[in-house]
Amino acid sequence: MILRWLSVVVILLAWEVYGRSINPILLSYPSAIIESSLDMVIDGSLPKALRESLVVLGTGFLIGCVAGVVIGVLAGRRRALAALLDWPLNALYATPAVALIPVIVVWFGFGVTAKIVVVTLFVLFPVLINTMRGVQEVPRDLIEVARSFCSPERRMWGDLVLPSALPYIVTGLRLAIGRGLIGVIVAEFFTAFAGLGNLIVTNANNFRTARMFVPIVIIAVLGVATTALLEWLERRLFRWRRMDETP
Amino acid sequence: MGTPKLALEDVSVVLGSKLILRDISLEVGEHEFVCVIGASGGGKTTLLRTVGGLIPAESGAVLLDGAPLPGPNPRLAMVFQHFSLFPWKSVRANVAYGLRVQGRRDDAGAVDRLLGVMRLTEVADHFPHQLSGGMRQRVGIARALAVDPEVLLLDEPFSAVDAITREQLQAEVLALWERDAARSAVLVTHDIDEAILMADRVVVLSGPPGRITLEVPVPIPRPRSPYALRSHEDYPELRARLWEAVRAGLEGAA
Repeated sequence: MILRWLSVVVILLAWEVYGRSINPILLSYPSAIIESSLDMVIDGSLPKALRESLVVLGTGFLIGCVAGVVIGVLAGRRRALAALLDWPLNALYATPAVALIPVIVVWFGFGVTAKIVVVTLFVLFPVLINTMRGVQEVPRDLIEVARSFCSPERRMWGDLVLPSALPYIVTGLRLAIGRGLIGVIVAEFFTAFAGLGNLIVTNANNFRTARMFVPIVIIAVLGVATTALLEWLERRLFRWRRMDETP
Repeated sequence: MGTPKLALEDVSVVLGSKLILRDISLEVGEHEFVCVIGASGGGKTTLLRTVGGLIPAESGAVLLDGAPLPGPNPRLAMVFQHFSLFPWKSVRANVAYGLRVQGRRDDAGAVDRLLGVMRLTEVADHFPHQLSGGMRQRVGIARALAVDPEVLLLDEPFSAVDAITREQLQAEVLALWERDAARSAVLVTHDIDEAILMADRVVVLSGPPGRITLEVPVPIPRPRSPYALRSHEDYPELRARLWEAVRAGLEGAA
């Protein structure tokens, strides 16, 4: 833990020292960024942008995750559905979702809806594919145990399918957080003038480099914080998987 | 003699397109311990899984008290070779599993009693990965006994633990068995000594396709112990007969 904080301090210090010796249009430095962020809080542009981005991120993330888990579970249990989804899914997963943004804009316009669709698309696939795999990889021997003890089908979900799929689902969520953040920012680059992504573009265009870095730092912090939250959740949820206690 | 507790009548099993068991007929009486031995690949496990309702018989029937068993039945319980515990359930929850999925209440305190008998009380809140192999199989045995089955099915239950633990577990299951009034058991093993130690009757299965080539009662009186067993006068001849039958089965297959 100390080492983690140390890395942050060292990076910030080096940045500060080096950044001051450089043309402020090319690179800013931490103290200037903090100053700009205070300005942006006071003039209201930062809270507004943050709110806009979080609404898009939250809604898209929620829709993407729910759809991903539901479709993933169904596809994991029904072989026909999995076969049906296999190729289209892989094709869509392999296509950089960025490539679809212009099409999405054509379909949904420049507003919030289009951005939510973009985030949903970014989030959906890692969750869906991981959920599907998790459900498919329920240990066969445990299915036999359940059958042998005459477990009703519906009980197998709680006893077997969900607990064994959950680690996969959480891995999917972890990937989805990163992709979701990319989705918001990229969507805001392409679409209406709102959110943190827009703040980056407009400040960069006006050579206000310190202001441009504010949303970037916020996104980085957001990424670290949500990942840490998920790791904490993982530790709580998967006590049974911790191998370090093996005698 | 009346109806046997468990009976197989001309059971044949096909997996894929391969005949695994051919016309197996076997009876297991009330409170009788039957061991099935044979080389690997002879269909022993398939036989047990067919009795447990996990594999359907191609022809013939499995009968419990004279009534056909179409699939898994709560009056039978199985102990698995590789333990097959739920890694996300505590020891206690694993032992209680059968009762819970069968919607039965543990009014008699069977779970606590079995945790005590199998010396698991202290690790009741641990997860399986924190236990040694021997301890895990104790959980597996307790889980099967918790549902108070009329027939206990054991699929090479001691093969995945070390030799010392194996002897310990054999002695424990044997003692538990001999104290227990109304339970029948079928144990599958490739260990001839284990079969003689545990069984009232030993059945040799040879294959593939598996068929019964020898059936002998074990005349050694109970309670038995692994040490007294080997010095019993009937032991050497019995062991030689069984070994001969197992080997003949191997050569027949080759």
